[in-house]
Amino acid sequence: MDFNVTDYFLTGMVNYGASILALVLLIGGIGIPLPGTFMVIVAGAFIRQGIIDFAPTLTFGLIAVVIGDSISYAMGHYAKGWVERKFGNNPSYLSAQKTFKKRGGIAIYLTRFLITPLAVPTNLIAGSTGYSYRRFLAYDLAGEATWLILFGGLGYAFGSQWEMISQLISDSSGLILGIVALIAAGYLWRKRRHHHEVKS
Amino acid sequence: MKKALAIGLLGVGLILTGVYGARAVKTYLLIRTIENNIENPVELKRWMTVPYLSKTYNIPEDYLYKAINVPAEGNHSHSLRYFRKNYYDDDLEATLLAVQRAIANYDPGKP
Repeated sequence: MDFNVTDYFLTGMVNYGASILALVLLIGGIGIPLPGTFMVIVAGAFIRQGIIDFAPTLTFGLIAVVIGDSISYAMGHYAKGWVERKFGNNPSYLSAQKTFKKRGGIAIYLTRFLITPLAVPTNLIAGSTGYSYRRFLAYDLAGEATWLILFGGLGYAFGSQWEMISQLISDSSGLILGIVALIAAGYLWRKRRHHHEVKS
Repeated sequence: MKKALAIGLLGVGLILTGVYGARAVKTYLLIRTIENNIENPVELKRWMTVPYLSKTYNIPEDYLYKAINVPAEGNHSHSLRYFRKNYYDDDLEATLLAVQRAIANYDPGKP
């Protein structure tokens, strides 16, 4: 059995163009793990090869991914009651909620193209913490447009070598996630030490 | 609780940074060696269709179908994976070889 979902999407994009890219990005935005970044890179390479056109690819891609993100934001929004019942009195949750409301925009923007594995959790958090949908939409649009232009541009620039560049991006994404985890560990450790010093 | 979380994040961070950092460096070094091949034709893959190959290699579709012994009718949206299953006894190597030969033997001067 050699079922490979990416192969089907690639053949689909050759046959049906931007609509298949849009479908992948929409499903990916909801949280189902599909190779979204890979498909954006391929779309850039296909534009260079004259297989698909630039304007509909960018337009449909952007609309689809924003709809997908909005759906996962809505899932968080509708789970708000449950989250608040469960963690509503937890000081860490309240502090995280306050921080997200203050600095959530930059998290939304950066997770669209730089730390993509955290994009869906960020949408869910934005929805469940009551972050304004208008502001979410503005940062989401800016971030997703950056993602499409940046990675589609890389696919366009690297032409027939898009498989290699997609591997590098996938590895870089894991590397950035690792660096973020290290920074978070350092921050928690410092906070803990500071807490102990104040206590003693 | 915070100590355990910090240690967990440190462990995950170190593993991710080590594994993906090494992989990214390896791929980057590989990309530097192939940067000059950006305009080269793409490597044959089983998701490719005849119209795609025709456009990529600038070879007429009719010629390609004929050269790989696959009827053109009803096969425009089918990939090499489909041809392998339906025309090449599930032999991917034979399918790719037939396409490779067809591309290599193409002579634009011939009718």
